[in-house]
Amino acid sequence: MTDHYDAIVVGTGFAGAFFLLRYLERASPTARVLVLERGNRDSKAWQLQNRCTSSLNPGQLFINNNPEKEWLTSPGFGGNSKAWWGGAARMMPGDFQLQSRYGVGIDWPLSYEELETYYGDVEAIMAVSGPADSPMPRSRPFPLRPHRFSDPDTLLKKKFPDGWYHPATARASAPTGTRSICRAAGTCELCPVDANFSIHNGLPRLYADPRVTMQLQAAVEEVETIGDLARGVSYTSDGQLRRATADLVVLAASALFNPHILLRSGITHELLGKRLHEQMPVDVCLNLDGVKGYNGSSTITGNGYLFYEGEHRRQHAACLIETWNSPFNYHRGALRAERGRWTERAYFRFMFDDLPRADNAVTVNAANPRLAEVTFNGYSDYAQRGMTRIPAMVNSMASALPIENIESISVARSTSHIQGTVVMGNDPATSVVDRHLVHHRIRNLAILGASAFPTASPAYPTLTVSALSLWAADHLFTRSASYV
Amino acid sequence: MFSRRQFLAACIAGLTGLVTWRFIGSSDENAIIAVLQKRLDYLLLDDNDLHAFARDLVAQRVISRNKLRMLDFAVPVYMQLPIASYRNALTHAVRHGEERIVSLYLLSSDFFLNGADETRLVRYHGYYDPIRNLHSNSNPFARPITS
Repeated sequence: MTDHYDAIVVGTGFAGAFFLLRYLERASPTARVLVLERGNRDSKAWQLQNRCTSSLNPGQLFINNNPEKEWLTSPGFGGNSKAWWGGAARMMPGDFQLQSRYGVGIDWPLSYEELETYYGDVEAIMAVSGPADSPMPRSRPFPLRPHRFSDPDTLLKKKFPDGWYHPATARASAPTGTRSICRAAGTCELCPVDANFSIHNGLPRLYADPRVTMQLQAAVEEVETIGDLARGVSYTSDGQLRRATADLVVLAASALFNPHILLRSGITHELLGKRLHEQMPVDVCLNLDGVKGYNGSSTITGNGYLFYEGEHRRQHAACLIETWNSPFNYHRGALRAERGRWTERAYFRFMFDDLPRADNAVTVNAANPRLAEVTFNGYSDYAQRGMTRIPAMVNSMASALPIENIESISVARSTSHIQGTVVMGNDPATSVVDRHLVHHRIRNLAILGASAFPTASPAYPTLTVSALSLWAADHLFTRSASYV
Repeated sequence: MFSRRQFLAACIAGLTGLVTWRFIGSSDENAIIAVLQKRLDYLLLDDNDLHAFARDLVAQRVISRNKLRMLDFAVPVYMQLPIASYRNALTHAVRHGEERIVSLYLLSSDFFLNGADETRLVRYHGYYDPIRNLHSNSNPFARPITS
């Protein structure tokens, strides 16, 4: 039996939910939308009780050929909104124009200016907290006031007023009605007071809309096509293979699983699955002399743009710095073991943008096609050249901070920002989807999320992912529903 | 009479036995307690609390048991060496482990809640859990946004 819908949306994370939000705002009262979600709807109470954000083990969904590099993802209703740390920075204008401004990488097929109003929309929906000043142009203020700096942040802001900012974050700085104020617990993926925006606490109404039918535990097998038209999807539910057809098919299953579904569907492209990337994360622990850290009001209390935009991007990766404000980190004790100096320490994460490599890729496992297979051969030389600049960067920061010594510099295993694999662009020969995230050939197939990112910005991808989903939904309506 | 060769063999065997006995007899919990006693020697610590914390920390498996065993094996030397004043890969690794243990113990105790008062007996409150203990000491240094 086949059901027919106006649209099928695969995935309930940021990309799928923000698309659905704008779609339902603009769709007719009689529209029918099928939402397919591979996992379960694990409540916050369940997550806290089980110390786990998903009842579906991501390790059962893909094979990691290089386990030393982690690809952190949280399957199930709400997707990675269950597990993110609330970083809601916009990308910088230069991130969209790496090639034309700096002669490296490739340009995105859209500009910061085109996305600006959508950024503002997402910030309003998420009730993002942020400062009055900003490193990038803004047309409206943040909905919530900024969190409180830690003392090291205050010193850095004083020395670098145009280089250090309160972070834009979805960790609430005031009660929102469904979220409490962040308490700086340092366990954002399992926030005990639900301070962080998630699809669970921010957009549950979408899935209660009478126009929406949601099917949980529905694993999409393929997108079905006839010629240059998507007809629908096949999916497994309750052990049975089912089919649903629609006028519009929207994949929002993440940069790991969007290409996996497309590859299994025979929708091929030379670049499909390739250019998998994340930012390169490097943790830097500094011992301070007489200045105490960890005393801000949220888990991350500062964002450094000192080494972000500028001519150095011609030579090496740009960097966004975040100040960690939690005395509890997963892989090390954050406090010093010296009498009276327990918090005379600053813990920063330096995130470098990466130029994607074609040999980092998602493929279909030959033995079990239901499994994606991930191969990662390393970060680009461009990103690694950026990392070598860290001692010089710390030296610059020493003009603001009394740095006693560098305690450690270590490359972290993941930023949890999986990107690339279904790259967007204007040229069908060098990209899979167009600037509105619609497949170049199959014009009623949209492929959303960070899979479309042509390059990795140093900034967190979530706000851009969500803004692009609003942008894509608006486009599908303004082109007079020509996909139907 | 032992020949010189026999004497050397006996010494080596004895030393090997001693090392083996010491290693087999080493304990994860003792290593943790040794670190706390060394690095927090200026605080009033309760022995029962230290043992309870050590048991809980071992159960969490957040620190390699082999490393803890090695440390306990070398405790007589470790307790005498001023590790903090040397900067090399080994002392860095040891200091890193010390910081993890000291951080977890202090955060698991009432020390910071009592204003880091070194004159008061430090009591263990239960293994540090920023999720469960949110309203007590998840981040005792954080300042509220309104203050």
